[in-house]
Amino acid sequence: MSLSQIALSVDSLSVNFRSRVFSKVKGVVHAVDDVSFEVVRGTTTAIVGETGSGKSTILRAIIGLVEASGGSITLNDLNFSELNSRDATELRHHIQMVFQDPIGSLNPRMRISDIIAEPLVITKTGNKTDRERMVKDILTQVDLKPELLSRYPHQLSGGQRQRVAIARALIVQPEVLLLDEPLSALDVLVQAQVVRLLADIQKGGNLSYLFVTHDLALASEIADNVVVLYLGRIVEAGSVKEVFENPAHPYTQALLSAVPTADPKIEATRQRVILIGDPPNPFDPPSGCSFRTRCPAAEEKCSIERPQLFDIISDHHVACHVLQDKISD
Amino acid sequence: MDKTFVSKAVSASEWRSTPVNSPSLVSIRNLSVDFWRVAAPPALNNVFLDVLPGEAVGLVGESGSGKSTLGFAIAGLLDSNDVQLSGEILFKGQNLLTISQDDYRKIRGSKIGYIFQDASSSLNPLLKIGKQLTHPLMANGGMSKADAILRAKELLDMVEISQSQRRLNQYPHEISGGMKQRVVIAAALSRDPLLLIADEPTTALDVTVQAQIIDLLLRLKNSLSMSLIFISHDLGVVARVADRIVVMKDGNIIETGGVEQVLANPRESYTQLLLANIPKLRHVDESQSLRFWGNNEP
Repeated sequence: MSLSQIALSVDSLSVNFRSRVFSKVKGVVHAVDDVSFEVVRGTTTAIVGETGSGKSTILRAIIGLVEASGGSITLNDLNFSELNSRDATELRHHIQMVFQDPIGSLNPRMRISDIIAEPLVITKTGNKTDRERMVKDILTQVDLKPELLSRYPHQLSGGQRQRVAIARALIVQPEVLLLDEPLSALDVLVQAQVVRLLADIQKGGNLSYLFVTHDLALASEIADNVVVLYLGRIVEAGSVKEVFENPAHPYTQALLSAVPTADPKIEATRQRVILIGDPPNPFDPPSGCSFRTRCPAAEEKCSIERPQLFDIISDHHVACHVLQDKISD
Repeated sequence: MDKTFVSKAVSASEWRSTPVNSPSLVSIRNLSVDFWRVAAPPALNNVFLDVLPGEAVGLVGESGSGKSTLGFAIAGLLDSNDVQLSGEILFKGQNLLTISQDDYRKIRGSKIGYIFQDASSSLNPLLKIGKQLTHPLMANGGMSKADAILRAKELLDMVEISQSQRRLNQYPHEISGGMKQRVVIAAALSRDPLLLIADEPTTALDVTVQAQIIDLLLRLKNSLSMSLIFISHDLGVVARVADRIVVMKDGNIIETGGVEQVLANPRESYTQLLLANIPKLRHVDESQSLRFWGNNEP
């Protein structure tokens, strides 16, 4: 199989959740609403957004933990929805996930060696000696000492646990690694170590990361491309350099200006935007553009028609009526 | 160097000679905290810290650095069955470690307000917001019910919660996380404290809501002329809030100084290490134009 440039492609993905009271549907949340993006092979794409923006749900839909209500997911030009369930499961082995909470995601009653080897057992890879060798190899790759293998998760520090989670995901040699806020439970120094580890693992290889984070500074450090979500929709996407240097959507601008930096010089000169109010209720999102209720530039059109993503330049896309009108004038 | 800027560097003879009527609101002298039941180094190790009236002090450090223990110690939230406290915590010249529990209770909750990280668990899920705000005002503040309700509404207005009258009749689960934290702040302010201790008050919040809460805390600090002790693991947040930064590690104060000085020219290698390892916002131009937002504050 020849490898295409695009490792993973998400096309018009939608995920709906129904809120039920005694089997009666009370409301529908469009947690992910018509989201499309591509992950280029060997690069890192960050999905940023606030609580409830649907960023984790996208990852869960890709790996099959929640069912998509629409759209398609393609890995190496193979569309999951066109495969039978056995082939789809096999294809999913090429996508692995690291979860936010390193305590909750490791079985407390399994030894580290068994935790790391489990994906090999599930995918029926190698015999026992092969697996032991592979576990040892992957352990050196994530900078863990072999004596940890006989321990249990509670005997490890937070950083070590997250390395185990990464080792377990990498052992089946996936093409895409989904990382759901993998650093938010770690202290700043440990966080920096894990960031360096992830960068080292990716270096020169074909492994792609899809990285969900609420930390924009972190996204700007590790990612090549970024997708900004608001209430389940993409408001802005593109290369990190373009989006962070010239944020075009008013939400992205507000989000970026709200990030505190520890640099007094930047803090003194930087313009700041304090958004008013909270994100709207996802059960009852505003009509048209979902950001319009907090947007200073909102016009009549914004409440009627939903803005579609358009290209500012080739690697920078925005969904905003006001901006689109300005540019086309 | 200003004496109040010195913490650990003060020698024992020096601090004894400091006059009792020093200008500090809080003056912590040689404070050590040791957990009886844990065979570990002390949670706090000979800590010296002064907080001036109206000053915002940021305590930063990693997990286990003792920053929350210091906040707990000042507010008297450490149980003497669990810990051994030594040293002095002077609040307006009065040593909090030697006064009776009754006297402590009069100070805590009225003169010292405390905001915890997790607003949802600070609020009682079974009580309406109005009741949670009025009850302490009636029980400890001696207000009548009608006065307490008026005061509760005033407090909600103060923390900029819209439709305050309606909110009094809502339960915590009916409002958003940011609004819950505002209610917790309102509760902490209800008796006009001189000192507000905020322990990671924005960690559970989204960045845009975090910006709102930081802004609110700073405005309230100035309008009510309180002192603020802001505890956080996030140097960026502390840089926005504090006048002075105190860096902690393993129960010790590593470095203290004005925000600009600590962040721009950290003296200690640990502070330098922390600063070098926090993610930096890349590609962001300082003069970035925010074309949609008109004249915003710089």
